[in-house]
Amino acid sequence: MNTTVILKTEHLYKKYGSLQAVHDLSLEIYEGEVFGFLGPNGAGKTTSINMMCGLLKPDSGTVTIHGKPVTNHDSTTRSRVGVCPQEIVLWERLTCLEQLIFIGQMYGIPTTIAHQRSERLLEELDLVEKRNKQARTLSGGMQRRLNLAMALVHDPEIVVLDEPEAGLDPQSRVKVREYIHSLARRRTVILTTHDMDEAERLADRVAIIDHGSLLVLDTPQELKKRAGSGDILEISLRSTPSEPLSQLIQAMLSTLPGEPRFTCSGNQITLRVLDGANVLPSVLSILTNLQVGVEDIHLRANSLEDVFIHLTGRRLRE
Amino acid sequence: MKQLRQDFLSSLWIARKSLLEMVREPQMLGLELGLPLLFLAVVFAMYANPLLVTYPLVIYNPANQHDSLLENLDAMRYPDEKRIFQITPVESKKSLLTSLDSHSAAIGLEITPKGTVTILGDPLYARFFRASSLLETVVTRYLDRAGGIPEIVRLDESPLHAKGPSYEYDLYAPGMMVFAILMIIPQTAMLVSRELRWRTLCRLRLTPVSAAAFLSGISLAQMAVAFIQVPVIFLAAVVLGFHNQGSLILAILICLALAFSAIGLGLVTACFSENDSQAANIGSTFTMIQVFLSGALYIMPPFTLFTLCGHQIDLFDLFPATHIFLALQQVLSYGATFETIQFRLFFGVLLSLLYFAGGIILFKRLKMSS
Repeated sequence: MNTTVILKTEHLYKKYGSLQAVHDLSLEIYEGEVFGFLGPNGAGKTTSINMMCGLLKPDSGTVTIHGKPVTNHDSTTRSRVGVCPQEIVLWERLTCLEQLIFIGQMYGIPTTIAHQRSERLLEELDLVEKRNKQARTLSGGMQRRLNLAMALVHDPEIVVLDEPEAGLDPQSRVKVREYIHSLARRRTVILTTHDMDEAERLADRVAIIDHGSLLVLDTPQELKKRAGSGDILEISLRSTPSEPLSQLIQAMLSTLPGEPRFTCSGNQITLRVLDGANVLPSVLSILTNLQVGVEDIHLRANSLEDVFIHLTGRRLRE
Repeated sequence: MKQLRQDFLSSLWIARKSLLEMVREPQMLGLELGLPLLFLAVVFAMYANPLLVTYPLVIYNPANQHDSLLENLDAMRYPDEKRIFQITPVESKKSLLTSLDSHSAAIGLEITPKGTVTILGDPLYARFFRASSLLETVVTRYLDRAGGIPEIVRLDESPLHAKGPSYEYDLYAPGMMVFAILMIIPQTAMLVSRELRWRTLCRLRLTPVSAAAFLSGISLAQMAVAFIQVPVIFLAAVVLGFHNQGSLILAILICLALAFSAIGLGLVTACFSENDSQAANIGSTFTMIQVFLSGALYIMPPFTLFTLCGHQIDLFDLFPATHIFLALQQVLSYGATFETIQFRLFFGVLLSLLYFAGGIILFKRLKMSS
């Protein structure tokens, strides 16, 4: 991995009234990487992003791009970033092509070049047939793709994608995902999301923030290792077991190989275990012997969601 | 220099974009162009009367007294030979009172068999005042003569201006034109504030475009609309019967200056609006204040703030609309030339520029800084 730092934040703080939105955020983003910025809604992701691209002034701390501070006055440094905001931000009555060319012109790109790039982006994002349609007539998914194209017309070094898959239909989701993949290595991509799968699939490194503070920053693989190795076996029981029965289940399951870790909440049993597929018959056998009715069993690999639970004790969407 | 060139180009692109948006939103453009015509039509419908009004006068004179007074009243004429009173005799006092009550007569005269003359009328009816002043003068003079009292006070009325409005509509139309053009204030504010509501201003803030370039672009688009709106207003006014006394080209130039000032005030309004509906509300209030304080609808009493180089500076002088309205009124109603109105025009444009610059500075601070 290229470890040349392209964007750096140092001790960023931002407060809204009594709410500390961002608290001492320091991180380095490398050139050409896809950087995942992960956290629940209201964790401070968008505030951090807005400070990184110069839209918001931090209460204290600095943001630098290639060592140059990002300020309200330095438009050259700001222009190195392309932002695709979470909301759809388009001029409703301009056509797809018109608004791409217009935003290119605003970045000081000659009209002919802006025109060529706009046409190419429309083609890449499967919007070429809608090039002369006004934005307000497009479907939500198409508007989101156009929203993404608007961040790229000026060919920025850093592309910030704030919840790029939010509200997308499956077809557009695949298209956007493929496009983000295609951007990787050509550009530095900063991706904010509360979708762990999205971050895991797309990001080279992931920063998890909560309540405005950075909890961890590493590759998805390393983060998952920190939360514990193995698979997750989630079992829904037909009814909530009594306390003695719960203890009995735990005692029996702990005899399984691979040092399983057991948690029980209501009728939900979560078991972290090595080689889950091979352990599963034994688990079922124990539960059958104890005459515990099973409603549903779900076996999955360890995920970033588990990392978040491990770090905060709660799920991302709680 | 490079930044200046980029700002100039950006403002042109923003103007083009805003015009495209306006053209594709026919309701808003229609409102912008149609509202002035509606105002003028309403004023025309309400004030189509000539300024030198013939007042309907009902006379109850059962004993046919004071013939020569009645002859004098019948003979009264304006300088253009138009009658001052249209006399209608009635058979009973009840008929006289009914005519006054229904306002089919502006004033009544009762002459009793004993020769007593009484003027009757409704003091709440606007036309009564002027009619009673004219009638009272004639009656008093007649009675003085009859009593052998020499005439001490004489009423001698003649127009001071060689040119002047001859219809009420001529008097009110310039004010209404000012009102119509000042509607650009909320329209400009809405155009700017909608970029806030759509969050497209945030997108523009990420680009190198400056507040000055952004607002200049919006202003250019609004000026382009004003270039269509102002001649349309004049054409409509003339078609409806406006008697222009001065240079039409000069009047159009003054109106374009007023449009520029309205755009400046619209930018200031946008600084205090979070979205376009708020901009419409604040802008309309601002427009009404401007219209009233400029004297476009009613003559405002002086409210002197201070004296500068021997000139009294009134509160209303701080509004560009005041100067521009006075200049427009002078040209349209009294045929004033450029030399006569240049001070007002200069001052109006200067104030407009100050408001425009103020709008840019405020907008940059309040809406375009992080």
